[in-house]
Amino acid sequence: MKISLLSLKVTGTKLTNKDAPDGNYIDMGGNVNSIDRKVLYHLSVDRSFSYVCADVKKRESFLSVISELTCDKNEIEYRQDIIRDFQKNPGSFERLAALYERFEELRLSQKALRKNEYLLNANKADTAFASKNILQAQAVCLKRALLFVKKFGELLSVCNLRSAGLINFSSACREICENPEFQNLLGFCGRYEQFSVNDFLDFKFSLNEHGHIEEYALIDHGYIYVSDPELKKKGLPFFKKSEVNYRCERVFPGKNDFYEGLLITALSDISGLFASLSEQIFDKFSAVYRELEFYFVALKYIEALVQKNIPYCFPEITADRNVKVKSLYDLYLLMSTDNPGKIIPNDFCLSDSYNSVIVYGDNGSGKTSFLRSVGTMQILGQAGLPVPCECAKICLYSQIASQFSEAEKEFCGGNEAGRFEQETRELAALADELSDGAFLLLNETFQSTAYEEGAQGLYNILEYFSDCNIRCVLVTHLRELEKMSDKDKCLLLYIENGHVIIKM
Amino acid sequence: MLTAPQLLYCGGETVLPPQLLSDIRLDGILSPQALCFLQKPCGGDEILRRQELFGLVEDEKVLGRLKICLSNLLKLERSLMLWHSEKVPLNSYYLYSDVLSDYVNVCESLSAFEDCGQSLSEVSEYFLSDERRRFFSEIKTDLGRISELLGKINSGLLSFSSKNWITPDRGAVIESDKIASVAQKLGFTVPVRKKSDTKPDITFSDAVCRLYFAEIGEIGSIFRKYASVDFNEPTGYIPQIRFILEIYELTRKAEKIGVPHCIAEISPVPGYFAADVYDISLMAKECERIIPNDVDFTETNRFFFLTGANGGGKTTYLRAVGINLVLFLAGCPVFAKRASIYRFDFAASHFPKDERFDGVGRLDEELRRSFGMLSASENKTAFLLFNETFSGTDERRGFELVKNISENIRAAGHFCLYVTHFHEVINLDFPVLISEVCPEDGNRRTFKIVRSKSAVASYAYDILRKYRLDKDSLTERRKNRENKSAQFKSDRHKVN
Repeated sequence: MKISLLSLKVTGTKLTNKDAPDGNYIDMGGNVNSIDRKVLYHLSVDRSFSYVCADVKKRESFLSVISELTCDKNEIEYRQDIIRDFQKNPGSFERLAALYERFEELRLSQKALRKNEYLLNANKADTAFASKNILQAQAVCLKRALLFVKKFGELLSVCNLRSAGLINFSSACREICENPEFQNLLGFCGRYEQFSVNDFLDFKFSLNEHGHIEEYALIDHGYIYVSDPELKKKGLPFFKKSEVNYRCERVFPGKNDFYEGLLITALSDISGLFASLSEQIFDKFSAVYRELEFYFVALKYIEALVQKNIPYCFPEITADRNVKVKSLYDLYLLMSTDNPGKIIPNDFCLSDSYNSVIVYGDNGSGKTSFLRSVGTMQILGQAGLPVPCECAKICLYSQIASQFSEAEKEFCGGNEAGRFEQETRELAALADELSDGAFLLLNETFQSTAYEEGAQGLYNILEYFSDCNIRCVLVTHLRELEKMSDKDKCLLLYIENGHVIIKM
Repeated sequence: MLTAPQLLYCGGETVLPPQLLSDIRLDGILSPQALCFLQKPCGGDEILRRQELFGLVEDEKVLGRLKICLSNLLKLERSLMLWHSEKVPLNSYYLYSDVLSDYVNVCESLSAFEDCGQSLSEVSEYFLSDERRRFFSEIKTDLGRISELLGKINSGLLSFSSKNWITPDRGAVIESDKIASVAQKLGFTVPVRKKSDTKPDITFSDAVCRLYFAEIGEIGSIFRKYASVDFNEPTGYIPQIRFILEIYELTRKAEKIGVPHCIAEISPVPGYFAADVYDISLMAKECERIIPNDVDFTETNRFFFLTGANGGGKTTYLRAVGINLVLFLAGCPVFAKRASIYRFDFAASHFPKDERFDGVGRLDEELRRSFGMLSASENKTAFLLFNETFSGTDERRGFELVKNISENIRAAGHFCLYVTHFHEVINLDFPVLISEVCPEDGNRRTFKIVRSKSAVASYAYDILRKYRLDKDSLTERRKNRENKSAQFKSDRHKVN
C-alpha cells in the first residue's frame, strides 16, 4: 500500500512500479471531488494563506490538497489526528521533513539516472563501461533508499503517536527493515556497487523459436564446468584426476560489438531490476514528501491563529445537514489585518430543513465577508483543518461551488455575451455539474438585468437547486426574492454593521 | 503438379485511365494495390465470379477463413524472405523450419473453402489433392523431429576469462532471479524481465553448431529433402485476398455511417440505374452523414447535364456515379440500395486541374484531354464524366465548347454525365439534373439531385431559455434528474 498522510483510500495493494508525481499535484487516491480554483479565488482562500506561508511551492501544494474535497468523515479525522500528533512532536516533524528533503533528492537523482540510461539507449551510445557505471549507481541508489526507510521507521518509533496515519507509516517501515531478507538485498546492492568487468564474466543464454538470443544473463562463476582438452593433452594433474568429461567448445569472438551488446543487455537486466525496486520504494513513500508540505502550512496556520489570539477548533462532523458554528471569523480579514480584535465574529446555525439561505444587507455591511467565512469554514473543515471559531459542528457536502459577480472581470475581447448571459451560462454549467448534497455560494447573481426579471429567474433556479438537494447561500439585493421564498425551506438573514440578524 | 488456380482473373483487355480513379477520389479511400485491380474491368464471366465471391465474404465464416489465409500467407512470405537473406547458419536452420511450418499452414488454410462458390472451391480442391496431402503429412512428421532437435540446442553457458568457452547449461540460476526472489520476499513486485531478440553473429553460431554438431547434422539432412519444392507458389494469392478484404472493409466502414451496399444486377441493355447511390470518397474526410441520390441513365437518356448552386453537391454526385461504376466493372459491391448497371466497355473522366489543387492553367489542356477521351472511347460503349470542363475561358466560348462536345458524345452513343455551371444548358436539347435544397431535411443545408422540370423571444427570458434555465426547462431538468437517479438506483439494485 502507498503510504499517505492525507488519504485513507490509496491505490494498489502491493508495491507498484510507478513514478510519483513531480508537480505540486498530490494524488488523493480515493473518491474526491475537486473544488474549482475559482472558488478558492472567490473566497480569497489563496490570499489568506499567502499571509500564513510565504513559500509559494508549499502554499500551492497546500491549496491543491484543500481543493480536493473529501467527503469521508474518517479521512477528515485521520488528518485531524495527524495534525495533533505533529503539534505534540514538533521536533519529530522537522526531522522527518528534513529527512524527506534528502529522500526526495535521492528520488530525483535516481530519475535522472534512469533518464540518462534511456538516452544512452535511445542514442545507441551505451557501452559496457557506461552500463557498468549505471549498474553501480543503481545499486547505490537502492541501498540508500532502503536505508532511508529504516531511518523513517527509527524516527517515528521514538514518538508517542496517536494518529492512525503516522502509526501505519511507522509500521510499514518496520515491516520492511525487520524482514531477514532486508540484509540480503542490501548485500546484493553492496556486491554490485563494487562490480567490475575485469572479473570472471559468466552468462547463461537461451534461444527463442527463431534461433535468436532471448536471454543473456549474468550467472555465478560456480556454475561453469569446463574440461580443457588442451590442458589435458599437456597432462596437467587437475585433469588427470577428473573423472567427468565436460562437453565444451572454445568461442572465438571476432572484433565486433556483438558480445559487448550482449554484456550491456546482461548488465541492464540487473540495473533495471535495481531501478524498479528503488522506484517501488519511492512510489510507496514519496507522496509523503508533498503531504508534509500540507502539514507544514497547516501548522503555520494554527501558529498564526494562536499568535493573533483567535480561538480555533477542529470541527465536529454531523451525520445530518445541521450546521452550528459559534463565533466564526472571516479568515481573510483575520490574516490581512494587524488588529484582529476589531473583526466581528458571527454565529451561523442552519437546521436540516433549510436548503437555501438568502443574505441581505446594505452595501459595505459585511455580506460578502459573511459568505466568505461560511465558505472558507466549509473548505477548511472538510480538509481536516481547524476553523477560526469557538466551536463548530458542520455537515459534509459532496461538492462546493460558487458564482460571484466578480467574474465580470473575466470579460474580454471575443466574449460577446453580456454580464447577465455570462452569469446564466455559469449557472447552467453548475446546474449540469452539481449533484445531490452540493453546496453553492452565490454572490449578487443576476443583478445586472431588470430586478424583477432577475429575481424571478433566480427564484426558479434556487427552487430547482433546493429540489435537487443542493444547498445555496445567496448574498443579494434582490428584495423580490423575499416575497417569493418559502420560509420553511429558506433562511433569510439580514446583516447590519457586520452583525447577522435573523429575519422572521 | 498442377498450377494453382487464381481467385481473381483479370482477363479483360481494357485498362481504365488512372486519372479516372484519382478524379473520383478512389485513391483517397483505397490502397494503390486495390486501385490496380479496379483499373482493370473484368472480362468475360469474371464479373459474376467476383460478385459471387464478394457475396460470400459477407458470411463471417468465409471472411474469417480468408483473414486466416492472408495472415498465414504473409507469414510465409516473410519467412521466405528472411530465409533467403539469412547468412548465419544457426539462424538459417530455424528460419527454414519456419518456412516449412508456414507452408503447411498456408496450404491447410487455402484448402478450407470447399463449397464456397466457384473461385474459392477451385483453390480449395487444388490444395486438397491426394498428392498434396501426402506431401503435407511428410513435412509435418519432419517438423516434429526438427522441433525436438532445436529444443536440444537452444540454451547453454558462456564463460569469458583467459579462454572463452561454451558449454551446455546444467541448471544455472541467473543473478537477477536470485535478487528478484529476495525482493519478492520483502513485498516488492518484480517486473517481468524483457526478453531480448538478438540475432546471433557468425562466431556465436559457429560455437553453438560445434557444441551440438550431431543435432545440427540431422537437421541439415532433413532440409535437403525439400530442396526442389517451390514454397513461393501460394504467395501469389496475397494481393488478391488483400483486394477482397479491402473492399469488404470499405463496405463495413460505410455501413457504420449508414451507407448501404449491394451487388448490382448486370443490365442486359446499356444503362445505369441506382437507387440511393452514395459518394463514399467522402469517408476520407471523416464525413458522418452522406446524402444519397438516384441515378437513372437509360438507352434513351444517355446524356445528362448537371447544374446548380455552388456547394450543391454536383461534384459529389458525379463522383458517386463514377465510383460505383468502377466498382461494378471490377465485380465489387456498389454503394447503393439497389442497382442495375450495364457492363460498359470503357469509362473516363475529365476534371479540371484546379479541383486537384495543382493550379495549372487549362483551356488547351482541357480541349486536348476531352477530345482524347472521345478517341479512346471509339467503337466502345463508354461512360464519360465531365466536371466543369471548359470553364477556364469566357462564358460564350466555354458554352460553345460544351455544346460542341456534348453533340459529339451524343453522336458517338456514349453515356455521359456533364457537370457545368453554364445554366444555358437548360436550353439545349439534353436532359438536365439540378441540385436543390432537400425539403425533408429540416434546417440542414443539404441538397438533392433531381431532374429539372423547367428552364430554373424578453431578453432575460430568452437567455434563460437558451441555457435551459427558464421555468419549463428547469422542470424538464428536474424530471431528467429524477429519471437518472431512478435508473441509477435500479441498476445498483440489479448489481446487488
